[in-house]
Amino acid sequence: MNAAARAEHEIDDYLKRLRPALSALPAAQADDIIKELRSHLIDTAVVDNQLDTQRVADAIARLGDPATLASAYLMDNLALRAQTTRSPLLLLRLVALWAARYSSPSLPIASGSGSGKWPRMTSLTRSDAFRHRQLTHASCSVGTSFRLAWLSVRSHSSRQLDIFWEKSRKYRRIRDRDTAWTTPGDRA
Amino acid sequence: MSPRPSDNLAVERWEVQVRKGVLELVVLAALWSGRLYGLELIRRLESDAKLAVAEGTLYPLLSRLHADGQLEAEWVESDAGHPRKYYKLTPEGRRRVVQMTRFWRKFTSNIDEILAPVLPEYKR
Repeated sequence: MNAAARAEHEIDDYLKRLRPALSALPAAQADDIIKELRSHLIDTAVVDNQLDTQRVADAIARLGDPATLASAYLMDNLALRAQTTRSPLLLLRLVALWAARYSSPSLPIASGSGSGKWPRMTSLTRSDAFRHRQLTHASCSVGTSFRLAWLSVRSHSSRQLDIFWEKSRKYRRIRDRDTAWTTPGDRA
Repeated sequence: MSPRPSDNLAVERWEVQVRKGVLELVVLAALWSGRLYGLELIRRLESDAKLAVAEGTLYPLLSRLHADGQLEAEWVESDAGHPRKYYKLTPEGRRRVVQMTRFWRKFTSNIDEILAPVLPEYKR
């Protein structure tokens, strides 16, 4: 694989990570964002009509971690919806997500590691990964958002979040099991 | 009187907040004279306002201003072989940037009055 192909692969790889994180937005809007960022990365990284690998890495590092970038788009979208609909639930969710995001200093808010790449999920702790999932998933419930915000603000401790994550997994397992055992006759 | 490291840190944090606060105004103002695409806008802010804006901050902001009706966006084919998304002010956006600029002018001139004794050498 030559340098230009490698650079293009880097761009594709980054955008492939970003796209699912934007899934809470309307598909057309998410596709438009991807198209714009692809255009931006190419514009930034082209030297003599060739993509430069180092420039691509630098441009990707400046865009930041895909999950964090997606959360910026989602929060803005949520803020606008909350402003226009004046829905108290949306407002509460926005406040909670905002608090969770800005009270979590361990999240890679800006650029990535020294290599010019964003930190991969595997290099994060499980609670970081949990917060990433929640922050970029607009369909997370108000309750979850608040619990997340509260935990982040209270302790900044990944241990607390780990416990919460374990409990919610256990709860989901029990709920799934109970749902599986319930027959239509039982419900009647 | 040399500043302590903690003072420097506090000032840096404050500077970040100020820059964040004016970002919407400078983005709208940069589009006053015509349409620009994202990278052009970043370069314009760097050269004209000495403001280095991270792409991860600018693009979500553009998206919000577009959704809010302050900006219009259109895809235009470029000589580089790929389309670029250009932004321009809507009439509503123009009205808003005029209002914001009026406020900014008044605000900074009022603040300048109170700042004058702090660093007299910077007095206009």
